[in-house]
Amino acid sequence: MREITRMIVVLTAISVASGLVLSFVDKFTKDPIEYQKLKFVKGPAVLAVLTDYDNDPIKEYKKNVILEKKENSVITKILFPAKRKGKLTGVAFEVTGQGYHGSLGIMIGIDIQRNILTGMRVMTHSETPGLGARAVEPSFYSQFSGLRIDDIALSDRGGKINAISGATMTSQGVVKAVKEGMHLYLRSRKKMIDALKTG
Amino acid sequence: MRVLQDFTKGLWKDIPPFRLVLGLCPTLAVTTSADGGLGMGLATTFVLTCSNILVSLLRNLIPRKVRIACYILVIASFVVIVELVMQAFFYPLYMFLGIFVPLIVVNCIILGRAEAFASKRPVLNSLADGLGHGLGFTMALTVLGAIREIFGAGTLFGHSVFGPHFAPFAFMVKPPGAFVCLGLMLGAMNIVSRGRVD
Amino acid sequence: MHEAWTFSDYLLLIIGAILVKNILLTRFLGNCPFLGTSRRMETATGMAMAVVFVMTLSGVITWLVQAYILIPLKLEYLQTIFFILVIAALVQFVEMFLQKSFPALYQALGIFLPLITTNCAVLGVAVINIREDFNLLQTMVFSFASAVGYGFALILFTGIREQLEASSIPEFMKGTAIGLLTAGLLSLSFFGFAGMVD
Repeated sequence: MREITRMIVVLTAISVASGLVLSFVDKFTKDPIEYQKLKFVKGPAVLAVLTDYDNDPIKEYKKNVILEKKENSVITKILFPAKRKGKLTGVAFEVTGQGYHGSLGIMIGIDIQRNILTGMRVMTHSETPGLGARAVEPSFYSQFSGLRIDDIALSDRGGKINAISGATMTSQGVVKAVKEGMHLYLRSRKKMIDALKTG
Repeated sequence: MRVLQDFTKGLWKDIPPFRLVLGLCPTLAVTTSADGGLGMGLATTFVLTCSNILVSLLRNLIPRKVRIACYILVIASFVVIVELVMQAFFYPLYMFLGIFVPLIVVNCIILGRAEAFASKRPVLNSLADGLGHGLGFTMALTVLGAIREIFGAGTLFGHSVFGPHFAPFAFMVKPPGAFVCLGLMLGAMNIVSRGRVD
Repeated sequence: MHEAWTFSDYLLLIIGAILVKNILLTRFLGNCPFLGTSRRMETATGMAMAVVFVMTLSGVITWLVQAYILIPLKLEYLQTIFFILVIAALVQFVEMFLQKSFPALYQALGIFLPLITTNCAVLGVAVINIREDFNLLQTMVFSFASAVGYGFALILFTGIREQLEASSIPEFMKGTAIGLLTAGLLSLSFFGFAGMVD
């Protein structure tokens, strides 16, 4: 019996010690890890969709910014600020759309003075190569630069975006998500600016 | 001095993975570049050295019947520390090494040294043993990674070696190339050590 | 992978796991015991059976641990520790169970059963299941198919090696070195399947 008690005590002691040390390391590394993930996974898209900045939009990110409150839901976003000489010029955030095969992860950048899109990049998707997957090509995404809210629609519906041939659903999915993102911005513009101006 | 011997044997006589034929999985997988080999080697060295120290410190307290479970707990804890620190400060390396970071815990070198050495020897010797084998492993991985990178991609640590007109021997950075390269290196090492013995 | 999978998606997953991204020859998981147990056919088949059994079971159990313990308690960073302990415990139980209920099988597997704990393929597959975001059914299928692929590669390889033993090889290439070269050629032949999936 002595032997079994000893085994249990030693195993428990090591487990507890390990648990304590590791939870400490976890706390200490949580924020750096979050920043690294943003920098390497979303970073390139963020820098690609913003145009007028001399700061590090990724380093100055603000998370859990509450943009809208409805009865059952709250809309929060991670915002990346573009600044020139300390003054806020633009903002980038992620929107989600629905493609042909699955969801679309899209980053959009907006000029806050002129309220136009500065850029759009599709970051994640499960679309068909050669068709919907072409949403990541410059020929598609460059169409979004400089657009006002009213221009964000497919060309056959009065907008300025030419759909990818053979991939109307994907194109429409992107357009819809970007337009909704723009609407969200217009509705919560002040909240975004207030959140990004502090600190 | 005994401690010095324990350290140097891991660097040649007993070098993993050639002489001490353990730890092959990461050797084949992450040596597509010298950076990858170096990063993995150093991470493994950290876990190996720390676990050797701790196992040696606790060697009289751990009951024989559950010793493997205890070693695994200790090793796994250090691997988690490496995982978290790497993600926090060396993210690109973490992305490159992928699943092989958590797999350090089943790197037979570490469990092997804990069972064969650290559980029976004093702390300073165990530290030397772990550090020696770890650094030997690191050297092996870095050299293999460098060879594969130079011939497979024309670069070394990311810098171009042969200039823009070099047509890389892509075979080297693909799985078959890994096996072949390692096999040839092992054969070469056999020749060298046979020669020395005579 | 969030939308529902069709039967052909599963078929592709299986073919992919066995042939195209063979766990051993392409993903480099499970190499240590691979080179050690591939000298004789009995040991190879024993290892293959054991791996199929343990890998499928551990794939499912670790998935459940992730879903019902690690995520709800926000302990994802302890994944490596929990997973390896689950695998070690599972192998213990399997050993005890086989010893009592199927002693012949237990004898056939011999020392290879406990060795499976440190087989990087088992932990590797468990981690891949989580990183690929598989649901429970996909996990079961992938774990089983990967294990079959491992056994397949192992048995093929052993067959080749047994033939090689009979022929004359230079002294310095004998043993592990020629084993690695052979594995490289086998891996190359599996590369021919690369065009099949996606």
